[in-house]
Amino acid sequence: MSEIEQFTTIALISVIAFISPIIAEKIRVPAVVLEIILGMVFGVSFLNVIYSSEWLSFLSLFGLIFLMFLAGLEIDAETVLKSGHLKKVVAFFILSLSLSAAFTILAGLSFFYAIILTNVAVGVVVSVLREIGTDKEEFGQLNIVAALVSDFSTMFLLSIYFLTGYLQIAFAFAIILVFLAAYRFGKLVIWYFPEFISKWFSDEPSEIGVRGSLAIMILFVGLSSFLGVEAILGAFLAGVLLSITFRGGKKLYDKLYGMGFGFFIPIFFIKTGSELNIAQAEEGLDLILLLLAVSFAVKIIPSMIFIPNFGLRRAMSMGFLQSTKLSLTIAGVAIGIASGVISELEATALVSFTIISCLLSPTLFRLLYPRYHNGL
Amino acid sequence: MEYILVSTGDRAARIASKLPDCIIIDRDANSAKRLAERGFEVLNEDASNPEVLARFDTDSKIILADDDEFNLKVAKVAKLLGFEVFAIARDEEKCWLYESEGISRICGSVEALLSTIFEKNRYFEIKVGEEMDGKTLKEYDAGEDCMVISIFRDGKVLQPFPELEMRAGDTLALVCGEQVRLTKNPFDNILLLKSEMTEKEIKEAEMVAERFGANLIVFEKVGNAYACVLEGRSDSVNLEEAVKILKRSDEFDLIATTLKEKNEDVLKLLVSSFPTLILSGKEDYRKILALVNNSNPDVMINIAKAFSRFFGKVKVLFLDEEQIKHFSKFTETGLEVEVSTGNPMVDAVREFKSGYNLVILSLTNDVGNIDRGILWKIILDKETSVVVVE
Repeated sequence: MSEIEQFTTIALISVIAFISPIIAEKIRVPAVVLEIILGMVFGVSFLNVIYSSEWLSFLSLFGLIFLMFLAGLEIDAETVLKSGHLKKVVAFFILSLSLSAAFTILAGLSFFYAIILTNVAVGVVVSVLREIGTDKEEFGQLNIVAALVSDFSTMFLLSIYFLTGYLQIAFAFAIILVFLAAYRFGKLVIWYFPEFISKWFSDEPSEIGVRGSLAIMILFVGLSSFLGVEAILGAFLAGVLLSITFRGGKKLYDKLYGMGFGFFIPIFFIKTGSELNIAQAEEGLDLILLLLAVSFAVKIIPSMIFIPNFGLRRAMSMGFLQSTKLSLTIAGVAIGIASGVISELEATALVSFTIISCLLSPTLFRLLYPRYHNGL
Repeated sequence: MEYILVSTGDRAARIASKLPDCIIIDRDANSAKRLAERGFEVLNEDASNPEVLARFDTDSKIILADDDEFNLKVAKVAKLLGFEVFAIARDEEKCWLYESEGISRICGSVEALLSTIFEKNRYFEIKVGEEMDGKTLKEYDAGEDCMVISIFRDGKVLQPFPELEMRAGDTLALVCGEQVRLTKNPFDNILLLKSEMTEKEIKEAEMVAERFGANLIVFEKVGNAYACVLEGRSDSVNLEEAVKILKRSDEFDLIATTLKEKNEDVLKLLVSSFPTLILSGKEDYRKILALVNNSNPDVMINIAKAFSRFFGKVKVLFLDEEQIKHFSKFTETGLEVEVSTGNPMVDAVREFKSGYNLVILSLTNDVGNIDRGILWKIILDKETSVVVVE
């Protein structure tokens, strides 16, 4: 492919990344959904003007790594641990995963599907709760904690799912040991060198905090690659490490979110969309509908344990909200297809299911949630 | 006659105008004449002469508002005759002289005196004169019992804040009373919970009690129990029971003790009842830091204010920008306020590491996300004393 074609593709993707959130806001859908759809429009499904190249593959991979890193950064361990419902939330997750696993066995699918079905889009959950003003209330907090627990656990399961052989499993645990050691080391650095660490969170032109955070992310990704473990595990753990070590620091986080969601991550979503052949979605329609039905069931049934706390209607609405899928499902699909766990047809069906789920689940939640429904 | 005011000049007029049924005893003939011309009931006599006071019924209350030396002379006579005495100490350092004469109601200003007499919070207005023009509110000493609540300027009402510059002609609105005094000096009785303490640590507790003018009551640990003499008990009790008794007695405002190792349960038990000072053997608190790691920081702010009043500057570090709303609570005090703009935990550690004699913090720790391990490192630091609130 010529250099001009490569730059044209990057330029086109940059324009799509730029206009997506603007249009998404007008039509009230998440920007990620529109990025995937526009990727489909400009990709193999229709116009076929997004050409694959090493550049694009690298930027897209970096986007995926950044996405996993920021997913880790969003894990708020303090909120989870302080929650009064932690035991019930863990039970909710285990029930949901068990039901998903039972479904995959019955349907003859791989465990990969169970992980995807148990996953939840934390970002969408939080923004929907914020929108209806319940994010600070007990019900809202419970939903956020449940989403965080599901997100962390499925992310972790997804990372180790792709491990093959005992040696790789041992290596994955080696990374976790490095993670724990780094956490201890981080605490010591904060205590003994607070002056230096405070520069990470200041507005210094050298942007030492951004450089340091990216260095940690890439070190962990490099370590994962070196040990033959999926890079997303390293990126995710690097994000969690920063989150639990520093426990806040809006300025730095905003800069990292800006870098990630402002450039690299949209490239990943647009490229993923561009590679999907929408014509195959029709073939996979049965699978899409089945996944939708099961995704609701595996969240609504376990949410019944919250009836004593919030009543039937709210507990059920929680089930719908917790079934929302988005970024991590797309990331899982990208890894799944690359590692040969799922076929292209399945990938298309999974992405279509994700898009529908992301639009449908919050809508059903809003309809069912009593306070919102009453317009109070 | 309900009130006998021993005073002179404008001060006498100011106080008398607020009191019903009052006679002024003015030792200065010219002043007495002027006061009489203004319509006040005045006696031009020397109130330190027992024969003068003996003419009045001892049900009357005596208010001493002359200079300290003369006040003390009259106080001796008045106490001997059995009067209830209120006094305005001009020089706060001479308060102990009044106390030694058995006068417990000593007030720092006319407004405070009136609030004490009427036993409720009172509202006053004071005009800012030329001598105060350009000075900031934090330089203005309203006395131990009073605080500025607003400032009237050119038809506008200004909210007070420490850096607000006063202008001649401004009107300061003050509220005075016992409740205000309690916010300025919340420590009347300090309990020293004594177990395996060094001489230096005991001296530190004594130093704190002396500065606040508080009583220091010692509670000694014998073996695994505390010798308890409250409520007529003389037996030994465990810490939990001791704290319960202390809480019931409602006499203590601060516990001073030491902690050699991390013990969350004990500290929680103590701070759930009283603010707790963990001693480290400091001779003075020259640098004080308040780490505002509590979403409801009123108690912390009051303690920071009290320490700033008796020890000098206190740096208040807000760990969340939202807490800046509490800034309006800082008036007329030596508080330096800073808000964490980066990572709150790192900023807290960095500030702590810059060297403080005393740190004020909260065990609730629901703001700033300070790691529990790091919080305990600060509490147990050998170089710094720590006031822990709930």
